[in-house]
Order: sequence, then structure tokens, then C-alpha cells
Amino acid sequence: MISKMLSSELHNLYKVSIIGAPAVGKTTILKLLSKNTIDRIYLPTHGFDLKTVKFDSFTIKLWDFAGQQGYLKSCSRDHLLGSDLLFVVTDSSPKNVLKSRELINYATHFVENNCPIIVIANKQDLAKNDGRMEPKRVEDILHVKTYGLTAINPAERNKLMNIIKKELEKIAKRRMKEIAF
Amino acid sequence: MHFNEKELFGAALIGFDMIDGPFLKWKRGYSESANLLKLDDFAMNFYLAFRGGNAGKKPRAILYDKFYIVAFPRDLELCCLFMKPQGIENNLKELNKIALRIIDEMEVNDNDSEEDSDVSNEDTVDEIKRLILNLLNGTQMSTPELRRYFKLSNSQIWKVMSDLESANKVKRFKKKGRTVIWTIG
Repeated sequence: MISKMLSSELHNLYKVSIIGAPAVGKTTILKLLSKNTIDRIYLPTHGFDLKTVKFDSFTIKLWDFAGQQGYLKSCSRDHLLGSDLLFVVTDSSPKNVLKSRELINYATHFVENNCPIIVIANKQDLAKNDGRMEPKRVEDILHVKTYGLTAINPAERNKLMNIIKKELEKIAKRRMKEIAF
Repeated sequence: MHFNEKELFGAALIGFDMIDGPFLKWKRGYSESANLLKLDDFAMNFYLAFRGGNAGKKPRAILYDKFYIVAFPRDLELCCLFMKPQGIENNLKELNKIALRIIDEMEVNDNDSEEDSDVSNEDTVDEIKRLILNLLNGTQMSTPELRRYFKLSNSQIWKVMSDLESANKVKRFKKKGRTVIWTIG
């Protein structure tokens, strides 16, 4: 009975990793998902933060990695292993989007081939005059499925949940097939 | 040094799962002070504080505002003992004075050495400006603080701040002595 419960919990457990340059909004996304208050003060993450979020039948372990290069090289490399879903967050500015391309190339070495990589074009509330790029434009540059987001807006939580849910449902189907096989 | 077992108000064992990371495996409270913190929420932070990073020395004890933790690792697990410090307020006050003195001395030394670090790259300057705007969002920081954050010289930080000020992206919030405090424009 216990082992059955445990196996069902493990079956619905997903590791979701969030990476990106410093100050693009990774921790804000984590706060948005875990319904924590979003303040506007930027405090860099040291190492990484972990949160558990449950919705529908999914239990998600969210890994929020520090954006600093030093942390990325020493810490995230090992901890990215085993990710079921990888979010690469950009602040939608042209330079940062180009940096994200390097980051995606780097990360692909440490996640499985079947781990979906999704780009979040964050800070969509910024003015276009400030160089903010549309999600479609970001997707064209990065060749990775991209969603626009304003993580400081709590109303966007459902939008983000739906993005994750859509991806996790695909992974769940794949897992079922693997088990059946 | 005396050991006083009464200082111990709780214990916890933090396990580590290769997929999930640190998790609270077991906990026990010895007194009502055990409710001082939600261990389930802090297990990760404690684990990272004691075992963060891949190499180098790790702390054995960490002093927080109202308690301290002494931790003993065993393989990937970490056994944390939560203690309530008694009679250390005076020591902390004295240590704080020393720390402030050291910070002041460092400040003077920093100002003396005007060696420019390599921030000639336009991309680096832009990245610094972007981060400064994020840092100042909703708060204020002084020029020396910002200079230390980015390891810049006085002239370099002033060049960056002047550029941002001219673009109306930051403004002078107030002056503290000779130090300018900045905020978002």
C-alpha cells in the first residue's frame, strides 16, 4: 500500500529548473508560482532556491538557479541533471536574448535530450522604446518555444501554470508510454 | 567555554535526494522555542548554508538573530542542532564595532587604489547599467555600495551613474555626508 502511494507520488513528481542571466526575473517566477508576495527589490539568489508547488495531480520541484556565472559554472551544472523541464528566462532585451542563446547551448549539455527547453520572455510590461522584444521575435532568434510573461503581475500566475501544465502533460504521456513499454 | 544543554531547543535531520535536493527528514522540538522557525521552509536554506558550493571549507555553526545552529554532516545528510544563545549580546556589540572599523578602513584603502578594472567593453557597461536599475528598483543605494558590488573604481562608477542620470533613469535621492544615495529616476 505504502509503496503504491510512494510510486504514484514519484510518478507525478517533476523537476523544473529555471536558469537565466542575473536580474531577469527567475526568482520572481518562483514567487509567482508559489504564491509568495512579489516585492520589487532585487536580491540576487545565492546558489539556488527550491520550492515545491502542487497543482492538479502534479507535484513540481522548482529549482531556481542563481544567474551569476560563478554559480552557474560551479553549481547549476550538476544540479541541472534530471530536469524534466527547463525554463530559460530572459528580460526580453536584445542583448539578453542573445546571451540566452549561449545559455541554452550550455544547458543542453547537462539535460537529457527529451527535456523540453522553454524560453520565458519576461518583463513584457516594459516599453518597446526600452528595447523590449515580442515573444515571437525572441522565438525566431532562439529557435525555442517562447512565451511572453510579466512575472511581477500576480494575475499572470494562471498563464504560467497553464504553460507548465501543457508541458508536464506531454511528459506524463511519455512516461506512461515508457512504463507500458 | 561552558556547554549548556538547556540552550538546545530543537534538532533536525536534513536529507538529500539526488533529484529533489535537500528535504526535512526528521525533526524534534525540545521546548516552545522550537516554533521559532518553520523548519520545512528552511531546510533547504540551512542545507545550502552549511553545504553550499562544491569545494572549500564549510561552516560548523551559524549564528542567526535569535538562535544559532550547529550542524554535523554525515554522508549527504546534515544533522542540525538548534540552540538559543545566552549572554552573547555584549560580545556581538563589540564585534560589530570592530566590523564597522574594518569596513571604514577598507573604504579608505579602496579610494586610495584607483586601479581601473576592465569595464571598457560596451556590453559589460550596458550589463552593469541594467543590473544597477534592477538593484535600485524600490530601494536606494550609495555610490560606494554600487562601486563595491561591481568592483569598479570611483571614476568608473561615477561615469556609469552620470550616464544613467543623464538618461533620467536614476536620480539622487539624498546625500549622507559626502556620499550620494541613488534611486530610480
